[in-house]
Formats: sequence, structure tokens, C-alpha cells
Amino acid sequence: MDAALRKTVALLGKDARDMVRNPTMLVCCLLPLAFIVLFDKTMGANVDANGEAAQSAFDAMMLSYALLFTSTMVSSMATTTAIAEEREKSTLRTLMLANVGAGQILLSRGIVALAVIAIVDAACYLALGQPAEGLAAFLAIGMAGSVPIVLVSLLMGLAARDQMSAGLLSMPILLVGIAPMLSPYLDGFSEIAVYLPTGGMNELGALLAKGALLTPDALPPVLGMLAWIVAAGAAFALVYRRLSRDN
Amino acid sequence: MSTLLSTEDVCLSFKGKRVLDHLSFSVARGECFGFLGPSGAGKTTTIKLLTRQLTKDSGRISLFGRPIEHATNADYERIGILSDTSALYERMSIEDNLRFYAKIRGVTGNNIPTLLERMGLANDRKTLVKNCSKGMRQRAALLAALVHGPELLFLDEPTSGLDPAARAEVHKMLRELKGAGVTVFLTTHDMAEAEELCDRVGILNEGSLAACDAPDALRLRFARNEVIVRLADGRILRTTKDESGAKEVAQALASGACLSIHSVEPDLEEVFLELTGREF
Repeated sequence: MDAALRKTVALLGKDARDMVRNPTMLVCCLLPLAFIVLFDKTMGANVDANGEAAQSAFDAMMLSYALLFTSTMVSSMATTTAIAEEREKSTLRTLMLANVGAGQILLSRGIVALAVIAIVDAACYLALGQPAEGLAAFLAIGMAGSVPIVLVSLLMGLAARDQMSAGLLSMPILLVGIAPMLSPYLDGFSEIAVYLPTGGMNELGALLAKGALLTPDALPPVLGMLAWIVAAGAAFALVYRRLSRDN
Repeated sequence: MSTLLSTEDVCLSFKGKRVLDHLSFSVARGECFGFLGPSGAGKTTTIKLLTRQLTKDSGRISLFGRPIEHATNADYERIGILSDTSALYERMSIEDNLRFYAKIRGVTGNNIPTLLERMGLANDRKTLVKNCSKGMRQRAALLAALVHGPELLFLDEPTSGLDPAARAEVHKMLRELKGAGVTVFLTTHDMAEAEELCDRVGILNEGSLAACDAPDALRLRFARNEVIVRLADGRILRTTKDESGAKEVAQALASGACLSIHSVEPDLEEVFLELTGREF
């Protein structure tokens, strides 16, 4: 097996096990589900009485919230803290000395984060009582759309000196990540929100709900997401390289 | 023996302060080279330079016969490192950590049970690292550096914080590694450890190499100009290594009163003090 692939597979196994064994990470991953159930029970209580259109709009809103909560909370809390712990406890330096590259760390941590996001997204979707036939598309949007915020979170975790600093840095990620929720309430904000790390995912989710995913309208959010992916990936590689030297 | 590692006129400064000053030494294949000095002398800095964790300001470093700037990842796969930044995953057992590093290094890990046995960790192999004592962690970290069978081993104070029994286990393993042809670059401020394990030692003081030779040769080089003769009546005769001293010793021998004759050789710690005027 190619050395890079071999190292990525080894890291993947280690990171996946760590996610399951670490109770803090598990709690972080369960938070979005808890929020969605709470919102659904409190805000959705009177929707039935307002007819089918109101129910449909409420469902779309809750699905959008589920995507935003899940990708943002899993990334900003679990992923950021996990990589900051690696740096704080010097296991990251030990990996660097074993010739593990930035790409391998990024891929491993990213895949684990996206897998967790997919599981939590699926749980939220089912908790909202949505039809099973829409689950695959929902998960596809959730996973693809989460890539930018996952990469930004990994970058912030790498840049954080320790887990405490990572906790501080995760706050702005959290706020920026869920900011697209405000689009319906702030005039003109939706035009900015689409270019936020989770804005593309939110927009693609809305287009999917309208059956317009495969239209030119999907281009701006996709381009915005790609720009975040390239920028965060390059910045991660630079910071990783910088951290491997003590000069 | 061929040279595996060498530095030539290497200088390094941090924030205007010179931490390594024209450092030159070489390590032969299969040699155990001790790098000695007090805290802050530059021992760990040197290891960091040799393992790509720092870049030098000037001079030349050669690794496996090529300039360090041209060393490849494949070259670094032939190296094992135990440093102050070597760490294990706390929520994994000792054995799982070793298996993980074996996978990272691309080896089967078939040697892990043997390594655990040799380091006295076989019964603790399932213990989570977070529940291990400092000594267990240190020994496990050493095994993680050895799991891929490196040709060159950098050990930064490998017995620091170990109890005498664990220290003896580490020394035994290092002797076995040396016997197997592994080149060891060892930093320590334990002079007895250096004398016991190292073929040659370099004494580092404030970033400069004050001396570099075999421990015996260093001791002889810094031997005092004094001979001690124990006499049968209990007296001790202290004399010098010169013509007058030779006459005194000859008289003692001729009288039949001489029990023993000793030259006075310092240990490495005294050599260091002699060279630098500093204490450990």
C-alpha cells in the first residue's frame, strides 16, 4: 500500500476510535439532535393548526436548522478540540516526526467529522419525522456542504495552542456557522450568508427543497464552498508546516 | 566504520542569542554517541536540528551520507526518535499505541510482544496510557520509537524520571540495540549512564563542543598529575607523575612497603567541571 494511504488509514482508525471513546466528543455530537428535538417540540406545537403550507415551511426550516446545527456544532466543538488536543499533548509533533503529512491528518480528521455529521444529520432527519426517501439527498447535502466548516474548524484547532484556546476559537466558528439561520429575518443578509462557510450548504438545502438543485442557481453557493475549501486547505498546510519547525 | 551523521560548523541563534556555536562532530554507523551537558547547553536543540524540527543558521549537517537539506522522507523512516515531545495517545492502551505507530511506519508490529516483554511492560500492555506512571510512559514511548526497527535512534534523556529498575531495563535494551548494529545518539546529563553505554561522548557547553572522545580517553586526558601509593603501615603517599615522583614510588617498591599504586583519573563529571567550570 502507498505510504500516504497507509498512514491515512491508520490515522482514520485511531481518530474514529477516539471519537467514540471520548465522552466530551460524544456529548458535542449529541447537542444538535437535542436542539432539533427541543425546537421541534416547542416551535412546532402550533404549526399543524395553520395548514399544510405552514407545516411544509416549518419542516424546511427545521431541516435547514438541522444541517446548520449539526455541521457547525460537530465541527466547531468536537473537531476543533480534537486536533487542538493533539497539539497540546504533543502527539501531533510525534506524528510529524513519523513523516505524517498535513494532507493525511486533514483527510483522516475530515472523514471522521463528516461521518459523525452524517450520523447526526440522519438522526435529526428521522427525529423530525421526515419521509425516508428524502434522507439520501439530505445526507448528501449535509456532508458535502459541511466540508468548508470542517476544514475551517480543523485549521482553527491546529492554530490553537491548547484545548482551552480551541474552546475560545470555536465560539466565532459556531456563530458564523449558524448565522445563515438569520437570513429570513435580516434584509439582504441572505446575499452575504451564501458565502459563509455553511451558507452554501444552507442555500443548496433550500434549492433541494424547491427541486431546483440542478439549476444555475446552485453555482454561487458551490463556488463559495469551493473557495472556502481551497483557502482553508492551503492555510492548514501552511500552519502545519510552520508547526513542524521550532525556529 | 562509515559516518552516519555529522555536523560541521553548525550555528544557530534564537532571538539574537547564539545557542549552537560552530558545532562539529560525527557519529559512526553502529556507534553509541553520548551528548552530554547541563540543562540549556543545547542538547535537545541539536537533536531538533538533526531531526528537521529546527533549521540551522549556517554550517553543514549530513545524514546517511547526504546533506540534511536533501534527506528524504525515506531517510527519516530509518530514524527513531524519543524526545521531550514524544507522546502517546492517552485513551489508547500501550499496545494499541505501539500497533498504531507500527501501522504509521508501515511495519507489521510482530515484534511488539517481544518489545513489551523486554521492557517489562508485557503485563501492562492493555493499560490505558492515561493510567500509566511516568516511567511506564517513558518506556512505552521508547518502544514506539523502536517499533519500526530504526537504523539510527535519537534518544533525548531516555532514562529521565525512571526508577533504578526501569533504568536498568532501558540500559539493557540499549546495549542489545547497539549489539544489533543500531546507531544511537543519546543525550543525557547522567554521567554514569554515558560512561556505561557510550562509545564516545561529546561534552557540550553553552552551545560549543568542549570535548569529544571515548570516555576512557577523556578521563586519561584529564587525569591529574598525581599518583597515590598505599603503604603497608597505612600511610598514603601522594606524589607526582614526574622524575621525583618516580623516585618516591621506586623507593616504596624497593622497601617492600607498597600495597598499591593508583593513578588519579577523573570521572566524566569531573572532566566536565574541568572543561567548563560548571556543575550539573
